[in-house]
Amino acid sequence: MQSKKWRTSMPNATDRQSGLPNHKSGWLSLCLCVITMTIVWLLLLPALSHIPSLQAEIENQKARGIDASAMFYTDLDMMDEVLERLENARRKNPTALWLPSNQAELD
Amino acid sequence: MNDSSNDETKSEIPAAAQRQSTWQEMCSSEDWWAVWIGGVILLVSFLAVYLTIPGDVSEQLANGEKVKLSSPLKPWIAKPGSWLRNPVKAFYVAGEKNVLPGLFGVFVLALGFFGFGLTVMGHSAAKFAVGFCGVFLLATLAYVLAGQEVVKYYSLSYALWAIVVGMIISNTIGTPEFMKPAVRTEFYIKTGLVLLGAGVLFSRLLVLGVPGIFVAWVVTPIVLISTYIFGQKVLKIESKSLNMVISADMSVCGVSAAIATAAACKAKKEELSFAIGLSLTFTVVMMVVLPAIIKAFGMSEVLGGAWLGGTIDATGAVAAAGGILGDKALEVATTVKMIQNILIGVTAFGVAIYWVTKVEQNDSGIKPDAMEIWYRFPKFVIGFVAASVVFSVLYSMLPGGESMVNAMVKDSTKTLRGWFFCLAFVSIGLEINFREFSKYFKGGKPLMLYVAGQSLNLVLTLFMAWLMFEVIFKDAIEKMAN
Repeated sequence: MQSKKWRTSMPNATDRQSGLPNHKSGWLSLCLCVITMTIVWLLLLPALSHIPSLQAEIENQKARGIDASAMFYTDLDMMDEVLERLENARRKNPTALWLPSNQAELD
Repeated sequence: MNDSSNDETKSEIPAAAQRQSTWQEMCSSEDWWAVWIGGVILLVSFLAVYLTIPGDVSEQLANGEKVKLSSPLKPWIAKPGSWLRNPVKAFYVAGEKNVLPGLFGVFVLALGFFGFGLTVMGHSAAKFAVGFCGVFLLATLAYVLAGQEVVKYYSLSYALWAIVVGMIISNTIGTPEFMKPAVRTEFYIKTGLVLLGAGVLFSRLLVLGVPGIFVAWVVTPIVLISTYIFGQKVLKIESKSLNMVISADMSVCGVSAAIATAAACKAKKEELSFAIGLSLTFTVVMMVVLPAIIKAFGMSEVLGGAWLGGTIDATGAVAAAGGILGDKALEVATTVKMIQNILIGVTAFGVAIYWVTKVEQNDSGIKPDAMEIWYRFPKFVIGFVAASVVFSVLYSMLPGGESMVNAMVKDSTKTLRGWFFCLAFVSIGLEINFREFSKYFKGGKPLMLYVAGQSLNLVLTLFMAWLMFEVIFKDAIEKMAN
């Protein structure tokens, strides 16, 4: 429904009056962006990955199931293992994390 | 909110006589269609797991044993994977992976569902289908850019690259006319949020007991509300929605909270993009700096982990930073962040209620009655909360529910939700121009808001984590950690 739509401050991103470059310079700018991104992603970033410390960190993350780009906990493969360990700990002592006075009982 | 925004809000709310009935809305509004599509996907995904459980496994599940299940939909729902030097490996590695059938499956499914919904809402299915091919290709490109191992290591997720890719197109050659019918930001985001609801499982809120609740559910709302008030009263930020989105993404959990809050308070697309950019920038800095500070001050892994989990925005960055400190820190950090993740549902619901009852009331000058509140309420939030409640119940009450819900989320709905958000971010990029976007950098108020809010977050979270993990529950935590 239109009334519930998010507000947009610009009516049309391709509107010439908005000061966007003309057709020819637009294509030129696009080509420049594509070339830059190609250089960064296919040359620069792979070259960076050869740095031993960075390489080791990346491998370490992979081995531990860490996805640094995860947006939500369900995106992390390692969470299953963590939750299982917490569940096992809870089963052994169900009130450990609920009652501070339970500390004496633990000892 | 400034005058122009005020006028805008007033004009957005039609007079009562012009309004559709709830039944008509259910058939014709994008919010409701997001609920229907999300609901059908969740239902089919759950049934796909439920109905294909092997006989011997059913007995184990009935006895309450944990069994690893998988969804038969898994091969048909995929996204490009990670790669280091050769981007083709994002799609295909001989003998290891081939995500092409999965990409095809997602394309057909998304095209079918969104195309059907838009057709019922009176749009052209053919035009949508043509445009969708272009938007889907750009979303695939965003995933490939985000999948490069170094990019991934620095927590720069697909959301950023999807916006960048879209913005490059719209600000160079302009968004092609054929693509415009498929530029449906709200539709994709709201449907993605309904799917996200299935992962907001309330039983997980309690896994760290009292310490987890205090660090994640007491500090976070305090920081969120204080930052929002600071933005309104002290910084006098003109856009309340920008203030709210930045406050939420900084205090709750980054991009996912920004998406949910922006949709709940009907923020501008530019505001959501700006908040995401700000959050990701600080995330990269904090995931490097905070572990160094924790080590320098000799904090324990548990305290450090809890501090990281409560303060770094992005979930993946929390895991990466926790991993630098050690295994205990990693576990505590990710668990605290997971509990914060669950707060998204409550935040989105609370913000939606606050917006329709307070903000829009002030802007329009009319005190809304119950019907008015219902009319203005973003209905997709109902789908989001309902998905969370239904799957929380199934997870906890159904024999084998935990294994079934996990399999459903991991093998199908998680990937689809990612795609829908990615399509939404590409759409946002395709609708933004640099000139409009750059105005958010002027004056530096949003930056000041983020820095002030995050500073409060750092101090309060550290205090609460120390109090809970190092004082009140110290012995219990030590016993559990060993």
